[in-house]
Amino acid sequence: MVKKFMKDFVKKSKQIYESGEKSVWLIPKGANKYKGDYGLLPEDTDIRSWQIPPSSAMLLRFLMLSKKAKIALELGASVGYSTIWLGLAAKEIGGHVYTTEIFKAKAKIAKKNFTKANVADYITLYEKKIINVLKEWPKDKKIDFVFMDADKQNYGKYLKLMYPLLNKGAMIVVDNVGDYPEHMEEFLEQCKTIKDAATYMLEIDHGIFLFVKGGGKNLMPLLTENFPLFKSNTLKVLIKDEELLGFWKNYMDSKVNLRSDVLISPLILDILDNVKGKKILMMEWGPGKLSKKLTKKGAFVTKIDLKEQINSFKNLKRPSDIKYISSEIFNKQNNPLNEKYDIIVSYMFHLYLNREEFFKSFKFIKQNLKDNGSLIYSDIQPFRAIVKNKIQRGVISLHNPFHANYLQFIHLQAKLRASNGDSLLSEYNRYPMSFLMNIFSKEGLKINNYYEPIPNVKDFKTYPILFSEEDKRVPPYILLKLIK
Amino acid sequence: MVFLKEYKNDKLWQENLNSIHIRSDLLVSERVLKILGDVKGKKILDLGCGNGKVCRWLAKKGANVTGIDIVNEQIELAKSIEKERKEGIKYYVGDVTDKNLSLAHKKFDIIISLVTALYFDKNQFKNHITLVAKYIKSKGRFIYANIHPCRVLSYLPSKGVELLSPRKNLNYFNIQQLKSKIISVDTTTTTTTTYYNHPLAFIINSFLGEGFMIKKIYEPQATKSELKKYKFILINEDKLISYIIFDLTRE
Repeated sequence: MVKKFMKDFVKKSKQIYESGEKSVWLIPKGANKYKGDYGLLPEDTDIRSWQIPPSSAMLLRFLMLSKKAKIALELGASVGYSTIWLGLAAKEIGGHVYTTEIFKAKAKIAKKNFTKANVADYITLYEKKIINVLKEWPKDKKIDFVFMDADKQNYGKYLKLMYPLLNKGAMIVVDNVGDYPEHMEEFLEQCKTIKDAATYMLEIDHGIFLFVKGGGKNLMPLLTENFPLFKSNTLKVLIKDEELLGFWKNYMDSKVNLRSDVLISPLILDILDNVKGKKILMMEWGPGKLSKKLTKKGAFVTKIDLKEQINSFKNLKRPSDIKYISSEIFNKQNNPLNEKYDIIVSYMFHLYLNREEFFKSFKFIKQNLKDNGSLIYSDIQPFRAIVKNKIQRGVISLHNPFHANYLQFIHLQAKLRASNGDSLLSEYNRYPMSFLMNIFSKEGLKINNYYEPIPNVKDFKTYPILFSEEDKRVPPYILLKLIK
Repeated sequence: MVFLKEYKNDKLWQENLNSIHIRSDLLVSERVLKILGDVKGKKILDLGCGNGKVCRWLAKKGANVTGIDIVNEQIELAKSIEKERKEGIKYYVGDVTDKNLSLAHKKFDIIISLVTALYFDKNQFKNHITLVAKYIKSKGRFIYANIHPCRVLSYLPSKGVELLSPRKNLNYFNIQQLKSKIISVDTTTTTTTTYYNHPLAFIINSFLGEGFMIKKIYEPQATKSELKKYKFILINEDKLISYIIFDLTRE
């Protein structure tokens, strides 16, 4: 009975989440309907409520279990979907969940749901304003776990009242950070000013923000190792060299594509047009998919591998007519290649260099590019990290976009998704627009054309896993053609 | 801040004192004056000069300045101040998006266009750059400043301005008209303004199309002390990037 209820409940919430609609519940008998009462109007025949996505709900339970949180507080129960998941965790570890719901009709449904899910004994629901619950909270009953999913604009106020009530190591989980960042600015600022704390931004579902009082161990390994969303078959993260080998094979044969292979690579081929007999120096991320394509078109290619990646190419058969060099070469002074190139291409390469390597690589470019030769430079859009407001599913970032400082050289970690569902862990840097442009200018490279490519209708159809609507709104990459 | 002092000295301007204008004075005009360096004896054209704040500052530094603006009242105001101070600045009412606009001077050493082009649509923008190319001396300098194209996509608020267009659907590529509410420093008056957002690719390629070369790009950010000192106009200016300044030249 309980199992069936949970199964149906999960199924229903999944449907609701995927269709993007609100859940609809019948108004319980005796519910007080008067105008303005939390969205319920006299003419309403049902209760509509948002629910957190099933994957977020499971994450809640996982986090509460991993924290072994005895006392959990939820702000905003609604019809109790998230509360049930917290309740399940409380049942397993002998804890208790306290939750709030001011709207009586919703509270009534929530209570019914708790009973049906057999977790009612582990949940206490206060039908009061959150602010009063916090003010009346006993000082000696320290909280281990908090889930915030209520009136966003008051989160700052709640945090102030709540913070002294938190145990050391207590975790606050905040939902919807991706959807309503503008309402949470104050709250996120406040979290930042608390020195002894760790914050995480999980770019899953609606954007989940984690705050851990006292900091403690890095949570990310725990999540990537244990949580199904981050470690599922559909989102396999390839880390080991032997795992990567299979991926590289498919990648080189164009059986697997990354976002840049769809957006940047064809544009480069288009710009370069006729490369027969041209000497091209490729600074390319990965084993050399674009290098291979250019070689096929009759170019003489020398490819520079990122030194961090070379090990994973060891057992890979790569085209033998290409010369391979490690990016260590940037450290050598004087013209180390003994020949000049007609074209130099930086294909999603420079973002993996640190600032020092970046400057050195441009000295290297200047030395090895013929006069009037061209540099094709691609990179991630410098401002993307600070303007993104929709969250991409399955992308984890260690960096919190709401605390991003545009002019700082931000070190980011993310997962690169491939068209077959695999993903690669990637650590990279983001350089501001003015930094990039001024290096070009300083090294005597004149901008000839500037591109901001976005996916077209066909790309969306062919690679639904790689692109989201956000990619139409904010360009993911920049591509420049420069002349020496 | 140079301009803040001016504001205080001039009763005429206190009426339309908006935080966004003071902010662009601090983060754009002041920065541009630094970027320009020594302007003594230089012929300078200010396109979209408004009431002539920047013109007067440049004239004080010994430049030979001409200012153009389409708003008659602003030019009248500028002229009346010129009458009092006699700094040798010439003001004209004119449309700086008219590529056939004729000017008394033949060519200028420096042309500046500071936070003016946001009012131009795609064609007007192109004509504006054509006009600059027409009146700039060989190897002359063109300083272009505007709201950073990515600014509108960010949800972080700015002091004194509120975007009225729905933010969620804003598309970086649609050169669309945007609406914002401008609130005065003392928050007593509000006005509505409409403007355009142009993608960087369009801006940069328009410059290149007219034979300009990008010498340097600036993305001015408020310093910590400025953030503290000008709290009443600055918020989030240490995280975001509100403006972009191009230092260009043409053979």
